[in-house]
Amino acid sequence: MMPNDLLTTLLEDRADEVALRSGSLAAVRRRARHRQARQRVAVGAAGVVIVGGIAVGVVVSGNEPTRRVAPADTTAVGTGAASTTAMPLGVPPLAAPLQKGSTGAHVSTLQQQLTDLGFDPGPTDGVFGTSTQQAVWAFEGLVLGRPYPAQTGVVDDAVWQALHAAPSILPRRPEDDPTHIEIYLDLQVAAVFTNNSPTLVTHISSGNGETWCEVLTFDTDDKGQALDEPIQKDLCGMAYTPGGVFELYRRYDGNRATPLGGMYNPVYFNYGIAVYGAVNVPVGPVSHGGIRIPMFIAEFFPTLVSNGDNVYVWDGDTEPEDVGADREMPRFNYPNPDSTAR
Amino acid sequence: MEAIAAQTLANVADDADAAAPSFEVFWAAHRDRIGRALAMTIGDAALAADAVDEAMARAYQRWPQVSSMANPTAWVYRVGLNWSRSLGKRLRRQPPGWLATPAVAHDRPAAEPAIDRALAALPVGQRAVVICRLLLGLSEAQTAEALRIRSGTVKSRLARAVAELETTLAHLDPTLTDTED
Repeated sequence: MMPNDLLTTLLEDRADEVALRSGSLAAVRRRARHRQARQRVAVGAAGVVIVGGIAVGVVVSGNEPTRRVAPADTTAVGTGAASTTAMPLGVPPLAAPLQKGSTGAHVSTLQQQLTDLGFDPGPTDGVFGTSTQQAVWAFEGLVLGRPYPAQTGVVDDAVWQALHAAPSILPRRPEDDPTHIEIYLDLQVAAVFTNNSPTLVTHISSGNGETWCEVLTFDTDDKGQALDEPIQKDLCGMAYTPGGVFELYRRYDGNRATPLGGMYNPVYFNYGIAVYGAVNVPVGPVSHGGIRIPMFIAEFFPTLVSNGDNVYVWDGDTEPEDVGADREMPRFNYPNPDSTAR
Repeated sequence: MEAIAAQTLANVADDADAAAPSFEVFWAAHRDRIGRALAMTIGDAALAADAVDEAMARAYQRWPQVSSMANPTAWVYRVGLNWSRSLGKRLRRQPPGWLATPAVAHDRPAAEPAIDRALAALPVGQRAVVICRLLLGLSEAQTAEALRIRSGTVKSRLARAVAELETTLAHLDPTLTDTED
């Protein structure tokens, strides 16, 4: 049995022999400037200023701290995005739309651009799978202002150009605290902002407001281990995700079995409502009221946020601060009175 | 007062857990280390140098966020790895013996070419786990985050890779030499 530290020693010795071109801080800064020059075309309420292909100003109306800056105002964003598509950025039009199942260099570019903006399409592997599709939905929602029923998951030339215009994604509620979460239910998008820059933008699936009664199947226990036999429960409730302003207050590592089924790495902000990983995160709201995010994002989501961080939830109708305590309450679940199970 | 605090930070820059060192301090401590780890993962030292510079540039652009992460090294490694892959120079196309490309120094003899062969023979997913866990010294959780895989996957890939390396590199294990034959 070879101990791991011997392998480590062998690897370290080998690594020392790699002829790595030396780097310099100046080279890093130069590269960063080039990236910035390519990227900084802002989409926002304040508009875009471009000089010689380099955007020099993202004017955020700093005198109105509580009012939305970007991506909130869908008309403004829509206009901004449309105007950037006409910019002479030298991005060739996309010949054929990219969609789930597409592969190749363009998909890699798409994935990298989404990643750079704060979206998470999964690894940049040139394969347009579910993770990439979910990131495209979020991009359509947040940057193009498309509510979830209008999100296609298809990258046509309009989306492609908007992506290459590298829009700035700004919080609707800039905060002095380092980190906060904004959730836009009408877009089915959640964003984590750190120092008012997006560290993560993800597609979500929330509750759709309908009353449901269903038999739920647990296939994992509360430690995330698969059960030999799935457990079933028959419950009713309202799939209601209220708007409002909340704080993260509780979290669990791993799979949390609840009366509504497993939630992976949940972070709670409103009684039993949490942001949590789920396998099925379709374009529209299908959860029982919680905020589903893709599993691979839930793997690291809790590391981005802390208990006590603010969570703003827009229900698409009322501003979070105006929702009021009554409507902020989730609707609690109850066993199905007509249940035939057990 | 703040100047003193900054000085203190600089002094503990070697400690990965130190609260938010400056980007410059982080760069100096980790650029080559991550670059070498990337080279060992992708098998191309020139591409690895580009990748680590690109990842460092991105870290520099958003240093407040990156420095507040639990492990900035893991972030830079991941960004560099993704970037090198997105360039179209796919890992799986690297031929065996890839580390012994002209990009690697030949002015001194490689200590053990068997290591290159052994690494090259591993599936890239396992190789990345080996590099993260054993070379970069990341924890299981940090590796899972860096590679965007489950920690259970980290564990199983590491176990498989180590088992494979134990077989192919057994002749390098001093504790085994006297048991042969």
